[in-house]
Amino acid sequence: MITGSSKISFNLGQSDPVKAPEVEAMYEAGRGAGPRAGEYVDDPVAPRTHAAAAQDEHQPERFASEEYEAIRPAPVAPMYATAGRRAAAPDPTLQPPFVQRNAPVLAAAAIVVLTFMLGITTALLWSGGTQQAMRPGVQSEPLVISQDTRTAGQNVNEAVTRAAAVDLTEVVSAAQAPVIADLAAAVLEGLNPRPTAGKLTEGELAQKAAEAQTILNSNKLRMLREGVLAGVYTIETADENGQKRVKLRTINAKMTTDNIGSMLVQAAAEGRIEIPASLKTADGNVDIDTMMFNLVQTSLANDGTSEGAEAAREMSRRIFIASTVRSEDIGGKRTYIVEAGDSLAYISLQFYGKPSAFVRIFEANRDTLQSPDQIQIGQRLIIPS
Amino acid sequence: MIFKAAIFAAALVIQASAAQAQDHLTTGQASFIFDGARIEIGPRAPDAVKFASRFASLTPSCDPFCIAPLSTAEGVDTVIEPQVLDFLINAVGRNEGLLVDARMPPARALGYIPGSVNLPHETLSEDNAFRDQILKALGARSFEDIYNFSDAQKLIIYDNGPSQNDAGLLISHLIQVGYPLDKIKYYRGGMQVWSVLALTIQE
Repeated sequence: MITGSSKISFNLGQSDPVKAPEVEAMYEAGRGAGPRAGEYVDDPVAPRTHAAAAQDEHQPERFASEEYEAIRPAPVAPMYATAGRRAAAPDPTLQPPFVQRNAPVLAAAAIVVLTFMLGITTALLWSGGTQQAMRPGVQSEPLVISQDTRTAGQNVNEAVTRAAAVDLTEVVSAAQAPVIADLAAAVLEGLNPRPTAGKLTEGELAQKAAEAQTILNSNKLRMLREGVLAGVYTIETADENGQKRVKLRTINAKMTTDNIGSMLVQAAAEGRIEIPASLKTADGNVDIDTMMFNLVQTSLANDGTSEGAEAAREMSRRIFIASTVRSEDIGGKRTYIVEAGDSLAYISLQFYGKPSAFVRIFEANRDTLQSPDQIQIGQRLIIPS
Repeated sequence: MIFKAAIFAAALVIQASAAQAQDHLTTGQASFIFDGARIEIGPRAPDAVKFASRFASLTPSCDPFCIAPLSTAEGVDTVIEPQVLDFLINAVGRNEGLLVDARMPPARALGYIPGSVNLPHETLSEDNAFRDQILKALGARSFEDIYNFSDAQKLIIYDNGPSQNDAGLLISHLIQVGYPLDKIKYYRGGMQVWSVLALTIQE
């Protein structure tokens, strides 16, 4: 598991391709000007070295502040998994001798459970009732805690399979709805650089938020989200029309993307939601896959738990590694040529691991791109690094 | 009679294969643009003897004597001079690859292949604070502590030659950070074989 302490370090140096000077300069800067430095300065490409070294060395970590928004310190959290499994283990038919023989183990388990419950209580107090990430298996012990918060969500949704963690479907109770509504609005809003808030009345905003909430509450999307939270997903590389595209696929909700996708498109067609400009593809469609990715990731990142934040982060890492997108170096700038099916958010997802970073690409291409939805097949986009 | 015909046939076959071999011989020449300047590499370099004796007399990097293996890592191909020349023209010349000298600067100062860059193997060791920047300069994209090498340059890596393992060290560092194996090639001959072939060397 990756801890929240490592930082994003996009973009440290200039995007120049490697040439001898930089590399030598880095070497030199790293070890101090070595005694033999003079011996290899007559390299035909050396003259730029020292300046480049100085530049690189003083380049501040411009994006260090871009730490993952949702990573929050939650000291109790790492215990979830183990505590849950241990708590679920006890068999009701245990014989007394067994208890005696395993007294130390049981005592240890009890301590773990107690600690866990304390942690849960703290988390509940901390997040003001937004607990959503109860992991499978933990409900046997902390029933006391969950009982009062679950009154509204007691009905298990019928479409959930048994394999997909029982309580995962019950987590969104009526009490939590406003949080999700805000979140959904934030998701859709965040993908659109031109804020719609100013143009809309309070009532319209409330209505949009309600629509987005409906979408997020839909059983299938929750399954997708929980699948990601539980780690049962893959980032697939699929061939589509001769292009390789990376996609999110969960094991517990295989058909989800298509279903939700058509639902969102329909909602957009009826004017119930607005598809953000960054999700319009170069060939005029809506980039459903990226929209799904963003919905799930944003909802995880903002659910207030460290598991959620970690899962959101892991999504970025997986998609970043899986990405096979190529760019070329034109005049020292990383340049990408737009293909059919690309949306600005998808390009951002491949280069930066998250759809929301499309703003960086958009800002870097203002002179050739009026709006994020106006990208054209074959257009050259500068990808800031 | 049959015997004679057999000899004749055999001779034909030998001639044919000789002709085929002739096709595969390369002239040891390359001309390409590197870092904005035209680089010419040719055979029969006038100072070849000087360089050949210089690289022959180097102390092997491991005592008392060692010879680098044919292959330095599984999945990394070993290449020979014609492939290096072809790489210089078709990859380096098109900004898609780099010929990398893995030696430390003092060793490189003895002479290097024109059009190569110096990437001393120590610069990619785990404890070098500049490793991240070097990898990015090689075309890697980074996110948190991970790299994506889709845009990374193709590399041919060399050192003094079979009596040195600098290239092997650099290659193992690269593999450690996840550099794709198919983007790394090992030119085992290095300066020792290059100089014996009297190919152009820069000092």
